[in-house]
Formats: sequence, C-alpha cells, structure tokens
Amino acid sequence: MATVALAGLSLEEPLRRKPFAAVLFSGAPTIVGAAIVCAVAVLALLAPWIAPHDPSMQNLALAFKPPSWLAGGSATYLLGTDDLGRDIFSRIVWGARIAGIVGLCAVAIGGCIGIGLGVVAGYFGGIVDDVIARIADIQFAFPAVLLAIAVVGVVGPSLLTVILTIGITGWVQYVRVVRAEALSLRERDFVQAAVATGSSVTRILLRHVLPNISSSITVLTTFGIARAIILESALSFLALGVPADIPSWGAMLADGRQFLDTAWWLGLFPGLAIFFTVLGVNLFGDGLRDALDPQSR
Amino acid sequence: MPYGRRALLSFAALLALSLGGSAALAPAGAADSTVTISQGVDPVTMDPLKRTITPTTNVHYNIFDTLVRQDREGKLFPWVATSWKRVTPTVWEFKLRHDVKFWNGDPLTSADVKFSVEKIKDPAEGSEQGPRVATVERIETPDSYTVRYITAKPTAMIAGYPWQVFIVDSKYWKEHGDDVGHSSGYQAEHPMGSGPYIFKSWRKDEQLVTEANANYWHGRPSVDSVIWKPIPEAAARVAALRTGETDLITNVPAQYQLQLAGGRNTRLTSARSIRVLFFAFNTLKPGPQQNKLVRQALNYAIDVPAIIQTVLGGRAYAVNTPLPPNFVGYDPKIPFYHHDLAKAKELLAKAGYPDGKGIDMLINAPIGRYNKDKEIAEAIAGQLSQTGGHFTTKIQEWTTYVNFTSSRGLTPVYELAWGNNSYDADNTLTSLFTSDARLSTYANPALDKLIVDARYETDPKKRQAVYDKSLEIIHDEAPWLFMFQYEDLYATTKRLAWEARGDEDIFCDEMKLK
Amino acid sequence: MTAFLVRRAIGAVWVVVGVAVAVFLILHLTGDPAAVMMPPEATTQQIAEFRHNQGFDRPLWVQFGSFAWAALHGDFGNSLRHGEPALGLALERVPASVELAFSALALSVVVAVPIGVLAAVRRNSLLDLAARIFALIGQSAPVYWMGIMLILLFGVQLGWFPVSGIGGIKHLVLPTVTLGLFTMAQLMRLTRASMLDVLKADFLRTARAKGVQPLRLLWHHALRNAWLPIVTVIATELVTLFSQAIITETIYAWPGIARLAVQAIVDRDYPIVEVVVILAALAFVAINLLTDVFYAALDPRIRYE
Repeated sequence: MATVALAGLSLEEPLRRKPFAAVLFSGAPTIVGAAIVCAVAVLALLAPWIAPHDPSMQNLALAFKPPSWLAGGSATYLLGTDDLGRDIFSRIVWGARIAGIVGLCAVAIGGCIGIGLGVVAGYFGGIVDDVIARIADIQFAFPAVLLAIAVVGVVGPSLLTVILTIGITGWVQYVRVVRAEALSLRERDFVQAAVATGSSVTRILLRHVLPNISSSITVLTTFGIARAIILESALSFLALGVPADIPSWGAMLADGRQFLDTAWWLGLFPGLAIFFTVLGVNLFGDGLRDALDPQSR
Repeated sequence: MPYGRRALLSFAALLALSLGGSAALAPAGAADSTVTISQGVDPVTMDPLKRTITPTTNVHYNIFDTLVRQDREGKLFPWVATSWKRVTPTVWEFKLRHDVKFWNGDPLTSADVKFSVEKIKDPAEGSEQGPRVATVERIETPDSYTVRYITAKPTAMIAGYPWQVFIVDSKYWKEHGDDVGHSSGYQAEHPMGSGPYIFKSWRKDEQLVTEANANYWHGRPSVDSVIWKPIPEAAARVAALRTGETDLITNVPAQYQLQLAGGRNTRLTSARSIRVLFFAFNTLKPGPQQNKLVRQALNYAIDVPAIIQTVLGGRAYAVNTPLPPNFVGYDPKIPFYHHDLAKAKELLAKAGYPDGKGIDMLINAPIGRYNKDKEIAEAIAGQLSQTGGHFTTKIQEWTTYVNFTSSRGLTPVYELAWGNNSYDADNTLTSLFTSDARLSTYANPALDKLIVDARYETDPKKRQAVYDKSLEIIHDEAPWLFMFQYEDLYATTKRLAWEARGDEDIFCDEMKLK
Repeated sequence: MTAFLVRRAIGAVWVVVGVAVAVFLILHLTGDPAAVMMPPEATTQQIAEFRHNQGFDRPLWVQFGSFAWAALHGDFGNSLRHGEPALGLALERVPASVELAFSALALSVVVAVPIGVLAAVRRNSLLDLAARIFALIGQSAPVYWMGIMLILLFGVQLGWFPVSGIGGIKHLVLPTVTLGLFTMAQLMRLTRASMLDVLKADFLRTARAKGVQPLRLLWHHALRNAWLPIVTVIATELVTLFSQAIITETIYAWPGIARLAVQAIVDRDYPIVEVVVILAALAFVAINLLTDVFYAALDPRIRYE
C-alpha cells in the first residue's frame, strides 16, 4: 500500500505485483472489518442453529430479564429478555439475517439504478444527462419519509416495503457522485485516446470509465449498506419499519429507546449490533477501496 | 485557492450568524409561580369551535368557559350556568351567571352561547365538533341570561358535548369578520375568552403563554402564569421533567413509573381513564371469527392480567364488558373470561377447529396511538398462538389504519380503544355495537333495540335493567376480546399540587404551587 | 456559462413541478384525512359531508387542477389541522430549522474538512486512525439513539444543557451535535477519501517532482481538486439534514419545519405537506444551482455547452 508522506515528499514505490488478496488484507483494520462482516454473515446464514430460542417466542412471565452476568439474569437468556419476554440474543442473531437482506437488497436496487444512470448521464451529457439529472433531483428533493408512507400505504407494511423505500431513495446517492466523476473522466486523456482509436462506447464505459470510478462506487456501496441499516432503524422510529413480528435490529432499537434508562439492554444490544456491523462494513469497504484503486496497485 | 477559502469563510460566517442569531432569542427567566405543562403535541388552533383533539381542548378549557363542568366522576356541576332544567321533553333551559366577562370587558350573555353553537353547526365552518351538537336543533334566548337548547328527540341530561361548548365573544368575532356563514381565520391565533387564564402569546410547537385572569368570576387562579410547551418524544418529556424544565407531563410510559415516583423532584399522579382498549372481531366479514364459539375460545386463550402487569406495569384494569366499573350502566354480576387454555382448546374443537387447525388470523393494530398499542397486539398474538392457531400482527400508522375503520375494512381482528367522557353506557354501546354505527363490526337487531330503549328510558333503575340485559348478550356473543380500562399516568414536579383526571382534561385553576 | 445557468434554471423549474405533482399524487393515493379529522363518534354520513365540503370527493385531476392553479397564485389553501393558510404556517417554522441545519452543517464542515485533509496527508497516523474511528462511530449510531443518549448524559446526569425546546445557544448545543454528527462523519470520510485520490494523481507527482512547496501543493493543487466531491456531498447533505432533522426536531421538541412536516404527514394535512415539500424542493434546486456554479469554478475541465 502506498504511503504518501507529504512533508518529506517521499513517495514509496506502489505495490504493483502483489496479488489482490494480499493487498486487500495487508492492513489490520481491513482484517477486523472482514472478520466482523464474516461473523455477521455466519450469524445470518446459521441463525436457526445458533439462536438458542425462537426469536418471536414470548413469555410475559420472563419479561425484562437482565443479561446473564447481572443479578437476576439467567444463563438461558444470554443478553436478557425484552418487554414481551423474548430472548434478545436470539433476536439479534436472527436480526443479522434481516440486516443482511435489507442492506444487500436495498443497495443492489439503489446501486444498479444509480450507477447505470450516473455513468450514462455523465458520459453522454446533453439531453440524457438533463433528463436523468431532473429525475434524480425530483427523487432527491422528495422526503424519504413521505415516500415510505406512500409505499406502506400502497404495498402495506412489510420487509419488501422497507427494502423498496431504502433502495428507491438510495440510487440518487450513486447518480450524483458517479455522474460527476464520469463527467470529469470524459475529458481525461486516456478516455479521449480511447475515443480517438474508435473503441465502442460500451467498451469505453466498461473498460475505462467504470474501473476508474470503482473506488467511489465501493465507498458509496459501503455507505449504502450502512445507510440502509441505519435508515431501517429510522423508519422504525417513525413507525414505518419492518412488521413487528420480524426481529430487525432497527425495530428492536426503536422499541428499546423507551427503555434506555430503565432496562438499557433492550436498546443497547441491537444498537451495538448495528454499530459493529456498520463499522465492519465500512472498515472492509475502506480496505477494498484501497486495494481496488488502480493507482495504488 | 480563492473559492475554497471563500467557502470556508462563508461557513464560518454562517456559524457566527446562527450562534449570534440564536443568542437574541434567549427566553426571559421564568418566575416562580409559573407552571410549564408538556403534552405530546402543540394545540393546533385557538379557535375553540373547530377541533376536538385533547391537547388542543386542554388549552381551550383554560382560556374559555363552558356552561357546565364535569367532576372526576363524570357528574356535571354548575359553571357559567347556575342551574338547568328540562322544560319539555325536548327543551333544556339553562340560567347563566350575570358576572361573567370576557377579557376585553364584554359581558358573557345567552347571545354568545347561541352564537357559539350556531357557528359549530354552520356547514361552512366545517367544524369537527359538528357531530357533537348534532342533536341540538336550535337555540333560543328568551333573555340575556337564559338559554334554551331545543333537541329533535328527547335527550337525557347526561354529560355530553352540547352543554360543553366553549363560549366565544360573539361581538368580538363579528368585529373581526367572523359570523355564521363566514370565517376570517382571525380567531385561529387571536382568542378572546372569559376563562381563568388569559392568552398572551403563542409560537407554534414552541410555547404558548397564558396569565392568570385577575378578574375571573370564580376568583383569581392560584398559579400566576401557565406555559404550554409540547415535547413529542416520551423519553425527552420525562427527561425535561427530571431536569425541572417542565412541571407536568402527560402520557407517561409505564416503565418510568418507578423512576418518577421515587424521583428527587418528581411524583406520579394517575386516574382511571375513560378509555377502554379492546380487540374487535369483524363479524361482518367471512371467517372463523363469525363463529361465536371461536370468539369465546379466544377470550379464554388470552391472559389479560399478565399483559397489564408486564406491558403496562400494572397500570390498567381488566374489564368483563365494554364498560368499566365507574360508568353508568356497568353490571358487576357479569363474569370475566379468565385465562383457561384448556377450555379455549375445547371450545375451538367444538367449533370445528381442533388444535387451532384452520385458524389463521391477522391481528390489526395501530402504532403510537394508544399507550403500548403495538406491544399489546404482539402480546395478544403470542398468547393466542398457544391455542395452536396461526396468529400474526399487522401494525400500521394511525391515519392509514383509521381510514380502514371507516369502511369496516380491518379484518378479522383489530385493536381500538374507546374514550367516552360521558361516563355513561350509551355513547360506548351506540358507537361500537349498533348495526349501523360506523365503527361497529357486529350486527344484532335484538341488541340494537335494547340500546335504543335504554337511551330514552328516564327511570334509572329500569335503564340499568336494560343495560344489564345488553351487556349479558355482548358478553355471551363476545364480539370483542375484552381487554382493559387504561389508567392514565401523569407526572409532575414535587412543587406542583395537581391530581390527574380520567377524562384527560387539565384545569389549571385547580393547580397550586407548594 | 450564462446559457448553462439559464438551462439549469429551466431544469430547476421542472424539478419543482415534478415534485409538486409527485407529492400531490402520493398524498392523495394514501387516504384522505376525513377519518382522522372527524371525532370518533361521527357517522359515515358526517364523514362523507366533511369529505364533500373539503372537495375530496372530486376526481383527482380536478383536485390537482384547482390545487395547481391556486398554488401558482401563492395560495396553498388552509391547513386542515390549523385552519390557517398553510404557506404562512410553513414559513414561520423556517428560521428555527435554518438555524439548526446551518449550525449543524457549519459544525460539520469546520470540524470534518480540516481533519479529513490532515488524516489523508498523514495517512495511517494516530490522527488518521482517530478520525476514521470517529467517522465510523458517527455514521454507525442512529440519530435518535444518539439524541436520547446525549439528553440522558448532558441533560439529565450532568445538567449542562437544556433537553428540549428552542432558546439561547445552550438550547442549540445538543440538537446541533446530534444533527451534525452524521454529516460530520460522512464529510470527514469523503474528504479523506477524496484527498487520498487526489494525492495519488499524476499531476501531483509532477508537481512534487517539480519541487512545489508541500503546503502550496496541498492547498493549491490537492484540495482544489478534492473540493469537487466534497462540495457535491455538502449539497446532498443539506437534503440528508432535512431527513435527519425530522428525528432531531422531534426528539428535542425543536419548533422547525421538519417537525411540522412529519406531523402533517401523519395527519394527512395535504396543504401543509404540499407546501413544505415544495419549499424544500425550491431550497434544493437553489442549492443545486449554487453547486453547479461551484463545479464550474472548481473544475475547469467540465464543459458547459
């Protein structure tokens, strides 16, 4: 990895020949990030085997049990129970699956629309750019909450509704940055050279434009996953989140916020789950970004 | 790099500007005999003839007067009206006090009462209070201090809205272009009342300031000034009370009760609410809920005391009928459906659903409308699942939800809570159980007839007998999962002496500072 | 340049029109407020009358036509909730929101941009690590959770700041930090990333090789190019701030336009929602135009014909 020490104006020779994986995992933060992402993925995939209890199994007699290491806690309920006596640990484990589904699906929807439109708009410019920019602006200027209410009103409250809302509001993030970069890249020598040598538009976009904005896309995607997970919890705050019987971290946190100073474990653990997952995704994304950057390879 | 620097400079300037700008807004220090009240939402208008929502009418009760007031048991007592009597079956006559004056000195007369009711009934006004004076056909004013309500049908003198209209200054309204048939909108922000507190200023969603009316006919209220400062988020409301930024908060979530009751500077006050929560079966739509045995079985399957204890911190009272014990018409002889899973399963089997097979029900519920509405629905779904049937929840925000209630579109089970501030059976039973009521999803001509009979029965004993019969039918038919009557929780700072009321009203002239 | 701006201004008009149409349609598709506005004991007929009086029973295009015609004359109708002109109700909340949004944005920019630049320059240093951790925390913590934690810590436990309402600078502190944190983190991350990109670019190597002074290099060559994505993000963050403000203003009982909007959405108070969304769209296109001007000034490689 290249280290630029500006003060001394020394420039280490970029690592050119090392394999991608070696570059990617050369930094401790990336490894930590990857580890967290893997852990969440394992929780999500193996939830039925890891979770000790049914996440929606209620037992009012056992409500508000503190975590196992506190007085009154029980080893059966590692992280305690919530206001309806459901096992928080099991809900967090299952919540990983929901977080994964929401994050990936929403980013996939937003990313595909956004990158496609952004590259096209930035590269071709003119009328195409204008139309896409206007649509993006309209979407962007439109409050996500209102859209969420509309989607909920039409589709009904469901996981799909949440994914759609987050995805549909997310593509604009891509369009704006991707378009700006494509706009700037279009004027670069190597793109102009490709145009001059008669490369096809598709080839130029795929070979010259996309790779050069891949680092931005990676950063945007990590932002996007983080944003999806956090927006999901914000929608829960506004009572527009996933249905109550789905154990999502956002919904758990939104419900738990009323108990932050009386039964803190209801809100803290889903909060930490969100925090560490987003942290992991971001750390990993940073590493990926550095490794993907054509100029540092 | 001129642009970058300029941008930085302009942001710095903005920072300075925003900080400087806000410094000028610093509020005057609150005097000691000021009480700050924090409800969840701000009042929406100072025009007292328009809206019906509690946080708004709570402010109106303190700046306007009504003919009568209602005590904590729902009994009416004289206020601006000194006495009332039924002249004929359809005419109620009220005698008014002679010493009531609006803040501008205008005397309050029968013409003002007439104007207020007529303005509400005016279709051009579009007032939400319209349905509440719908029984009043017209108003007569034989003299300046006598008002006659003429109703279409004989009406019992029970607590109710016709007599609790806020009285506005008709002269002042006409001066500002507001008359029957025409509104200027001026009253929305410039109220002229006769109440114990004088409206001073209002910055919406920020604060509304009122001051004691020194010339109030009922005597100057004890607290000098009352500020209404809304705080939407419950946790923030509790925090503001604990830091002493506010003196009285409404809708205290049950989980804070220990903390606030034992607080250094805080105390709790509560009252049996006029609100009863229930889950209704939509018996008008096809499904197993049309089978009485299924409805009874599910009533046996739920454990209401456990829900009250856990979800509401014990702050509610299980009910055996749609009426709570402190209502006229209540029948204590009717038994409860006690939690009995075996009996529930037995009844289900008898109804043709052994082990709950074939039962797949959606429990509809709103979120953020009633105290713990969502959690209660989840708990109910969890308990009902013990029967072996399949029960899921569908939680929606209130506006979407309530629109479905208008078309009776929530099915097969839905959660609602009914607040009835008349403390009388009629409003509850008529609104929720008669065949043509908008919110009723149960139809039974025999019950319809009983409810109408009771309404026009003037002998209290006979009336109670009719209600006993109605409630027996309702209990047996079980068109609801019978749940509970809420207990409303309020918290105040220790310096404030004020006790909660079940009808959700806040009268500041009842307050004292220690 | 002028032609470009004129073209963008025309585009801006289309955006506002598009938003107005979208908000109208979406609102009217999600159920009207009659059932919420009328008291529970109202009969079906009384609700139908209310609907008729308000004109909700007319065909959608007729409703839109009369709405659009009045709106063009600056009349957005009376709020259903307040019974007063919606435009006035919305405008009187603008100052409080602007105060909060700009202090949050200013705080973010003042903290995030310098730290982001330094973190990029001193990559992998302790400062870089601290900045990255801070940025991650800021982005990972949901706003309302942060808000309630700040209230409990600085309001209730320490008693340093008031926990709700608008007032002096003290009232501004907690909401500003709550609202600004996410933007600050986002901006810090992007500034760092953007600076890193630029620091590696060919023209910087050339400049370095030519022996340009480090600080001059940083300021004149590097930051100048890094500004492009940063400005983009600052502009987009203003909209994000509006969304975040919905939560911040609610938690801190801040009398701003976002809180008005969310209450109006909940109540289906059509006129208020329409006017707020259109105002937000106007603010948005104005900011966008400014960003375009910035682009033009910052990156001479962008063409405008």
